[in-house]
Amino acid sequence: MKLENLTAWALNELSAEEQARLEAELSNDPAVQETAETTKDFCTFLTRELRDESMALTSNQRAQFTTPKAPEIAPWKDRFEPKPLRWWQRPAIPMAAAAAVVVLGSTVTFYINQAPDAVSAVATSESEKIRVQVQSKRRDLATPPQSIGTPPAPKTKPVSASTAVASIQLAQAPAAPASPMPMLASADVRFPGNGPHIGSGSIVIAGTGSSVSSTSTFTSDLAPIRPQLGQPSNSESYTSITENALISVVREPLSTFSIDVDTASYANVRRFLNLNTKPPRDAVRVEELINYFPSSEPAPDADSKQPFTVKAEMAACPWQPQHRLARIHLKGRDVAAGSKPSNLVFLVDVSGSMNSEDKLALVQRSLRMLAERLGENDRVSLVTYAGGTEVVLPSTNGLKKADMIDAIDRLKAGGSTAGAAGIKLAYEQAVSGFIQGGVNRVILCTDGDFNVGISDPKELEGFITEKARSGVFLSVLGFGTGNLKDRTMETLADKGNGNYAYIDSVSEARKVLVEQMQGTLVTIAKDVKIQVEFNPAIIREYRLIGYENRLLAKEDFNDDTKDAGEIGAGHSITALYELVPANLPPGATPQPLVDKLKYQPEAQQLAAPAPVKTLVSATNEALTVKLRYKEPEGTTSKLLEVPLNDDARAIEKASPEFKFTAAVAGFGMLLRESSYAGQLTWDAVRQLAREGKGPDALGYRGEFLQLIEKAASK
Amino acid sequence: MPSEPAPMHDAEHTFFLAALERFERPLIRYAHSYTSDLEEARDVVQDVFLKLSQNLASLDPDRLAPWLFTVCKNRALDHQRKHSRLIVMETDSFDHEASTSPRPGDDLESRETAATLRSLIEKLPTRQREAITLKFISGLDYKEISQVMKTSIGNVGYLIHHGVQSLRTKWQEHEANPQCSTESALAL
Repeated sequence: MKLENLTAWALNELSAEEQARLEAELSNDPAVQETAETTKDFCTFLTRELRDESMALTSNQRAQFTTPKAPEIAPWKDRFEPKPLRWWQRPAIPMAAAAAVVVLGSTVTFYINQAPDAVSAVATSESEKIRVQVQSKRRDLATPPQSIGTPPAPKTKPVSASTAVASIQLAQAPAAPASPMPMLASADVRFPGNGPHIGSGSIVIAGTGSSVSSTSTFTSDLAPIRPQLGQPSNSESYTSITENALISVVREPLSTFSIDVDTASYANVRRFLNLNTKPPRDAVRVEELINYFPSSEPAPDADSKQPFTVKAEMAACPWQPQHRLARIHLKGRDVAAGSKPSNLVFLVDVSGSMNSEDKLALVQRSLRMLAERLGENDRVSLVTYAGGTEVVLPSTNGLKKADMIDAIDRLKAGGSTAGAAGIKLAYEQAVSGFIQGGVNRVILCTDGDFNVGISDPKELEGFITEKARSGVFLSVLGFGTGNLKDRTMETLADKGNGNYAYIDSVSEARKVLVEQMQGTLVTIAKDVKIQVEFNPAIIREYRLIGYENRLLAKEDFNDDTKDAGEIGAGHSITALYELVPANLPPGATPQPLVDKLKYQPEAQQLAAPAPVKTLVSATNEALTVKLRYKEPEGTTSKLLEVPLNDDARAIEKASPEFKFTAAVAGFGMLLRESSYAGQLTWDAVRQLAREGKGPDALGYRGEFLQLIEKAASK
Repeated sequence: MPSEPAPMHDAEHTFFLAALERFERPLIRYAHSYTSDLEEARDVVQDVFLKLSQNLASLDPDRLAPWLFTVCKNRALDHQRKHSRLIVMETDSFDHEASTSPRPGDDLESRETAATLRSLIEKLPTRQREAITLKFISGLDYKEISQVMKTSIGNVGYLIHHGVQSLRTKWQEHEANPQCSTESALAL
């Protein structure tokens, strides 16, 4: 036994496993045990004597930091001045000003038409402040960029507030009202002012031409401006997530969604927990937590026809023992590094806003890491954009590390942003060095203040979509902070058949660019959609956990023009369904969300798909998972079907991967204070995570166990 | 007025307040281990948080602790260079400060113990001293210490283990022969 471990044990620095192991050893050896106890006593003594809590800043010194600065106009001015007006700001200013005037009276009524992106503008007045922030996101998953739908009918609802206005940010429509894109907007309104005169309302924005509609609620936050210590982030704004509800299989036997390989939410939750604070509910996106962890399940062979394996498993639901939990897992084929020649074009945003440690400096470190991994078949070029665009490094062989590193080191931030020109130049570089059958990819590194161009952004998206068809894909690496811009970057990556990763630290850069480099660079299947059909004879209700913003209409599944997510080499994607069995005794389930129909006898409701019913009753299948995907260069989709029987497995008998996924989902649900969390406890989550941890070669799961401890102590 | 905290956005301010809450006292104690003077330690830590407020946007949140403690150490060393260092502990000043303890004697005794322990820590080899200070005075965990000291967690375990063993031996010597040790503590 290493004596250092005794000291670490005395200081409670061992992991739970190491601690258990060491304590087992101690119980066998009284002499060592005594040494350990003495060390522990002495450490306690040292801590008690040396940690003098009376030493602190004076209250004046502390007040200097805790007193909030009044939100002045200055920061907004800063935000506007360095860059030229963006395409969406121009029509917005008069409209925003008009809105401000209306609000000043006593009531504001505003119409949110088809806003393709968020807009902010500022108006000022005296004392009280209302800040309205409307973030809108194009629901491009459900609609291809080329399709022309009917322009959505504006639906409006007045929001009243009898207060004066200091600043308003609101989304407004761009100049072109003929915009065909169906919209999904989410809104978040904060009223930091005090007093009872704060109103709240709700606004419904629905898009036609898309089957997806959404309800967003304006919430008024009566908390004081200054966030309370220990309850941070009540001022950070996140797009609110409404958890998927239990859905009756009889009414909706199909559940359809697009896969999602994003992992940003986990990095964000980790940031909060490491600061000993609880993350805000809406920062926790369960599917992104689950998909952060590469699974240990086998990938298909390199020569197998299918690019990924599909595995489905069902066991008891840990938080609702009478319910079942189904896990659907996709594991992408591994592609050995260097097996495909790559033609990479790094497009680096070097505008003034990138000038900080966690932006350009981190970009440089990330690119250096990636440069190290390239071989003789690879070619790299480096394009920058700021006020102008420049090819900093023309296409260069992957072995010429010195040239690459030199070009990376010379990057310097400064100037304004000409994003559209940059991306065009980058694609030109990629096309001119196109490698048939290889990896052809533009890698955009930006803080998301990616000014998508002075001209119409759709033109740029169309451009990216077209290039994606030609075989040049786009990856977006986000740096720095900012939620709204997240969405822009995600959209661009979706359009470009690429992936979007958020790099908050060198370790995250290593994960994305070194450990999972092939997943980031090599797409093995695109437009991957999942549709699950449930058998009403076995399953009464289902609930998809997470993927709230990836839902598709059932018709989209067979429609090859509908865009969906991509799988990279070696990626693991997992979805969980909580299922209510059909044979639960009455009263065992909580009140049904919808009463039984009055005018349709139950038998008839069940018998609705009459011919199918005879088929279904012949089988014990609880559900069938259907997948559609396209080869990276393909245009027509292929279909996979995997049926799943319920073998009445208890959670204890489930596979380790099943347990770990359930633990991560439970972790997310507890952090979200989900109403579906049932009898879930942190102890149960910890137990599942330990049992499912497996070999954990990269240490991600060990880190997760530590996060459980931090979250449990909140 | 260059010492104005930079204007912060809400999320950053929240982050900043959480950092202040978590690290204010650990940093003061850490600075105090260099300055041996509470006022100076406060000035140092005030500077640290001022600098944090100006660098929030560019800071990697995962590396907050090492960043704070590194800045704090540099500032404390600057202070030491500027103000000639007080070498002898001013035991007089103990009596002038208001005591919150019901029996002032307890407090004094405890302060003497702490002062003795600090003097013993001072005599450890540099790396052990640094690790012990960060662990017991500032209360960081091994991982944070490894980041501050730019070394592995294993090495931190090694340094702390040997530091603790050595402190324990010295403390036992002091207990056995208090006079000698106290003198050396005051003479340091």
